Amino acid sequence: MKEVINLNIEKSYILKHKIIPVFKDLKLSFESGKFYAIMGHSGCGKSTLINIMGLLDNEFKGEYFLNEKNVSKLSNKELANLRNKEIGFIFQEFLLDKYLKAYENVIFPMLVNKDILPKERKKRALELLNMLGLEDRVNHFPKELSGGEQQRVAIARALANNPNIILADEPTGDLDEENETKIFNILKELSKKGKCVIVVSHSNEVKKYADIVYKLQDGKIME
Amino acid sequence: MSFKDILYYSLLRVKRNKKNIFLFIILLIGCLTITGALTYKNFISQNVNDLINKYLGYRTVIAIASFEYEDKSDEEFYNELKKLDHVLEVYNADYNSINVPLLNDEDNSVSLTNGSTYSLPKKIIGKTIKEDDTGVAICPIKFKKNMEDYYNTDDFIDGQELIKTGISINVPIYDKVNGKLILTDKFYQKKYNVIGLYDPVTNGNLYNTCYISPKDMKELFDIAESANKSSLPIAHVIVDDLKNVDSVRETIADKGFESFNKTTINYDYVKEVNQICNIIIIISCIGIFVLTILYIKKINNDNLQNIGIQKAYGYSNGNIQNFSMCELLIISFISIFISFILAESCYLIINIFFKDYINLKERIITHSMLNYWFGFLIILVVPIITNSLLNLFYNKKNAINLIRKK
Ligand SMILES: Nc1ncnc2c1ncn2[C@@H]1O[C@H](COP(=O)(O)OP(=O)(O)OP(=O)(O)O)[C@@H](O)[C@H]1O
Ligand SMILES: [Mg+2]
Repeated sequence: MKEVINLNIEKSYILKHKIIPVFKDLKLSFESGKFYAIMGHSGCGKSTLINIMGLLDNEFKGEYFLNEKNVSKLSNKELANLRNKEIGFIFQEFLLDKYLKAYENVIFPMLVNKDILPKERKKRALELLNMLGLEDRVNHFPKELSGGEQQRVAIARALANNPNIILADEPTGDLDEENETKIFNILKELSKKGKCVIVVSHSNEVKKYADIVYKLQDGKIME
Repeated sequence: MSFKDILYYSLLRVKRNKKNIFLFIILLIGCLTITGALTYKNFISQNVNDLINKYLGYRTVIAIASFEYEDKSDEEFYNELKKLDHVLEVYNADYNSINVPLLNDEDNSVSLTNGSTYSLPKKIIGKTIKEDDTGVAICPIKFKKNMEDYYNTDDFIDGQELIKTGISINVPIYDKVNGKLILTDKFYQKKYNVIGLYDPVTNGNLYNTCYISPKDMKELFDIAESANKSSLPIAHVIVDDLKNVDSVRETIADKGFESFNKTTINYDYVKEVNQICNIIIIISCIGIFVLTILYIKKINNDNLQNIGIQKAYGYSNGNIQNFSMCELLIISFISIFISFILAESCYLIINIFFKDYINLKERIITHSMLNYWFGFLIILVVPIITNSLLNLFYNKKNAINLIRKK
């Protein structure tokens, strides 16, 4: 399997002139086609790590290779392009655009992707929503959807540009068990189709699906 | 990202986000206030300028000869004045205008005015008078002979009627004997054919004023009114522009003649209106600026997560800025459109309302597009500047910092 992420980083936050170290010499690598779970107690830095991997936070020391490119050396434009095409990020709170319908939310990342023709966008969005069992919810606004449905729309949005890496920070944190199972199954399917799926979770449930579980503790990884 | 996509999704979001109505109202009220203040200000100064242009009195100087001219001919005095810069015309002040009784209607009169090239009304329906014409007159489109009851509009005589009948006068002739005026039994009678009509309201005249040629005027004075002539020549000096009146008066004074303005204008009212309108405009601009900044900052704060998500999904800073700018410009353009419609409707209503007031006939508000531009510019420029400044700030932020701001 192809290695898509390889990092060796150090991260600390500065809060009111106080340095809060999160991790040091953190070495990790991820391959495509696998389901990874990142676990650990609250405050150990799971979100911090996945945000860095998702290129949402570039304030760190060390080296991060994504598809063999050193992201610290890339311009803002190149980074935006990577986020758009290589990464699909799923948040715990779904974070859909409340003024856009389900399918419009899915189309949104496609608008800045030149590889998808304008006339194919809607078709593609409907296919993705279909695949996630939302065929009769496409015209709903976020507030007209249940939490589980909203998270599936968010997954469809993450898949909009067919990225190789799916990152999810506690995707089932706000959902009940039934919906949790649904979401993990969907993510598992995606990893089987060759995507690198990385999920941060508290839930022990995730262990059933994960190929590899990383445990983050005191800024170190135990496999 | 194509312009079409930006426009389409911006329209969707503007339409669905009810909070935009606040910004719309701020911009609409601001635009209407600025446009209204500008319109009123220009309307007032335009009217005053019109009045000055139309009514010759404001740039007519009355000059009185010095005593040495008692022995010289009057012509010498006039020629002296004609040589001055900025002077268009000089004529005997005695020949300016006179009220004379009508033939077979002694109780009523007509005011005959010297119709020289410069004093004639600008707009004349029909023919005009030339210097050497005789027996012709230009009269009001509505003529009124009974001046005692000026505001009664019942006894107007239509100008067309005067064209048929003409104006006939009957002036008693006085004689000067040993410095005393003595009425003779002779009369100066003359009929003037009315060859043209003019609007006394826009011209600043009374409804009983007719113009006759300078030649007829001289004749009327020399025969019928010679007894009234002043001993020292007095001249009406017509100056080319209001701003030159003072300098002409100075040169007249240098020559040792006395002079005064025929009519003066009180500019204080215009200045006051100007000041008040300027203050309103400045306050509106500041108001629009402050409220727009506060409002855009507020919606952007609500929007912060959205901007973060856009970044997380690969939108460049440029894309994000285009999006927010487009949304604001849509609101600005809607405000411009609606305020244009509202302002035009107001003009229409005001004009219909004042149509029947004869004295305001030409003062109906003219709606020049110039009055709009400033307001339009402000409500376009302010959101653009505000948004650009805020974007500069957001550009530097990491996606996660925007998403987790709350
Ligand atoms: N913006 C920030 N500024 C300062 N400190 C921060 C910031 N974000 C996180 N931290 C600190 O960094 C540490 C790691 O935070 P992080 O959110 O990554 O933990 P987590 O493992 O995701 O926890 P949880 O399971 O509760 O979500 C915590 O101690 C937290 O207080
Ligand atoms: Mg977390």
